[in-house]
Parts: sequence; structure tokens; C-alpha cells
Amino acid sequence: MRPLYLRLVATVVCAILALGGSSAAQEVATIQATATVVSGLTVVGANNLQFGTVTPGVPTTVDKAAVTSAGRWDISGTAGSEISVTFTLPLILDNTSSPTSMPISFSATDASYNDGTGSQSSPTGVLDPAAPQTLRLGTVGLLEIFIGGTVSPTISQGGGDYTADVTITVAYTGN
Amino acid sequence: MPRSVFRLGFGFLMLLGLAMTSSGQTITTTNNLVFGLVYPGQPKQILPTAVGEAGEWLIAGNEGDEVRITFTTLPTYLNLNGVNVSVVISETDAALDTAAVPNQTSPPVSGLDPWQPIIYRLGANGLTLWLGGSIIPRQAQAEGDYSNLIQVQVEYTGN
Repeated sequence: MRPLYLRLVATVVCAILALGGSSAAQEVATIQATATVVSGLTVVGANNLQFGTVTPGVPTTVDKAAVTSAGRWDISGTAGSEISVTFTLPLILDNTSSPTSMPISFSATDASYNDGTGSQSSPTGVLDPAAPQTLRLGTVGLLEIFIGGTVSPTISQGGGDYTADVTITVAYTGN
Repeated sequence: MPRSVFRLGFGFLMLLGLAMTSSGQTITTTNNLVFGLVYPGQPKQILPTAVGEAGEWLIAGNEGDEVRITFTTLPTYLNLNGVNVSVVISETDAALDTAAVPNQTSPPVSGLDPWQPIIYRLGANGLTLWLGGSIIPRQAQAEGDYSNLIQVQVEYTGN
């Protein structure tokens, strides 16, 4: 039988070896990947651009500040977010009952917007509807876009109702 | 006392010395991978050099020892109540620095592939590891807070 001190030494050595072995074990650490997806954008056509009754040979203009006749879109999304706004503008209005048309045009100041700091008659800013725009939603996440324009009926313009789509496309820029 | 006892004692000290020098490595998480605000339809990338946004781990251990770092869990999506948003961790989205004062904005070792084990030697203050990635929300992605886990394992190679 081995002496006691030899067994003690062997026991201590085994314990130290065991400690040494565990110190080289794998270590694992975990983090989270996180993201907050904000609410999507919505845009609603709130008012048509209405020229009303026009007279052949007499151009008719609707001002963007005209509350009942200017076109208007209401945009909602995450407050303070930057968005791109692109207009798709018609060149003509089509007669709804005959294959005739009437020219329509938009000037570089025919659109405006209100981010909550203004109104339709006193807008936050003026826009050129022919150019892409970068705007920012207001503090409550809303933005109004207004548009006016001019129709130019010919002297022999046929009677009837004329229409065309005026469209805006909005998207978050990510900024 | 017999001479064999002294020899055993010397052997014991040698083993003790070996055990003392092989102290374990530790890994500490110091920053989540934070994509922050994400807009529907707008992909967003977080670079490993983005301070406070890239995922960050600190590995401590014996200076000069080689370690194998393995991303044992890398997400391909974040989740919110069963709804997923896609995440892409690319083959160049990891970076590291073994300097005493790590330089995250210009790390000396970048473009590492987190999908493969990364083998590197620890510096005096260990090693700091960063991970970036990209998130690709759909146009109609539901709003809310999404998350998933990223897990890193580290072990000595013995070299």
C-alpha cells in the first residue's frame, strides 16, 4: 500500500489537472440583434383637382390654395420621417364620352405642402410638381400636398366631361 | 524524507505551474447589433465599424494564445410575434482588433467571414470582435420591435 503522503500528492495533482482542464473549456456569449420597424406610409387622394365649367378658347387656372377645387393628398406615417414624393402629371384630359382631349399644364409653383406648421392658404412650402421632392412628415406624422394647374381648351373644344389621373408616389427614404 | 518525495514535489510544482498559466478565456457581450428605426421597404446596413450599432464582444485570455471564434448562431431573420423581417449577415461583416485600445472605426482586421471559424491570437487585452449586417424589411412590413439572438463561442486551439 502506498504511503499517505503519496496519495495526498496524487489527489492534489489530479485536482489541479482537473482545474487546468476546465479552464480551457469553450465560452459562449450571446447578444441580440434588434430592429424597430416603423409604421408604413399611407396616402389618400382627399380632393380632386376640379376646373369646373370651362369656356372654349379660355384657359382656366385653379390655384393650389383653392380649398375646394385644388387637388389634395393626405399622407400619414411615422412622425418626422423623410419621404420622397413624385408626381405623375397628365398632359391632357380625356373626354369621357368622345375621343377628344384638352391640354393641361402645371407650373413650377403649382404645388405646395403643409406639414402641420401651415395651411392650404399659407403652406409650409411650395413645390415644383414636375420634379421629385424630398419632404419630411410633420410632428404628428401627417403631410398634406396640394396641387393646382391650368387647362387650355381650344376655341373649338367639344363639350363634355374631361378627366385624367394625377398621381403621387410616396416612399420613405430611410433618413 | 525519501528522495522520491522531493521528486514528486517538484513534479507537483511543475503541474501547478502549468495549471496556473492556462487560465481560461472569457467572452463578454458589450453591444447588441442594433438596426434602430427601420422603414418598410428600405433596407438598412449596419457596418462592423458603426460604434454603438454593430454587435460587439470582448474576449479575454492569455496574451499570445490562439483562439477559435465561432458564430454558433447567426440569424437570417428577426422576429416579432411570429412575423419575420429578413436579415443578411454577409461573408465580410465581421472585424476584430487585439489592441489595448480597440479601434472600431478603423479596425486592423476587417472583412472577416462570420460564417466560418475565425482563428486569431489574443493581444495583451484580449480581442474585441464586431459584427455588422443588413436588414431588409418588406414594403408592407408590420411595425414593431423585432429581435433575434446571435451567439459566439470561443475556445483555445492549443497553439
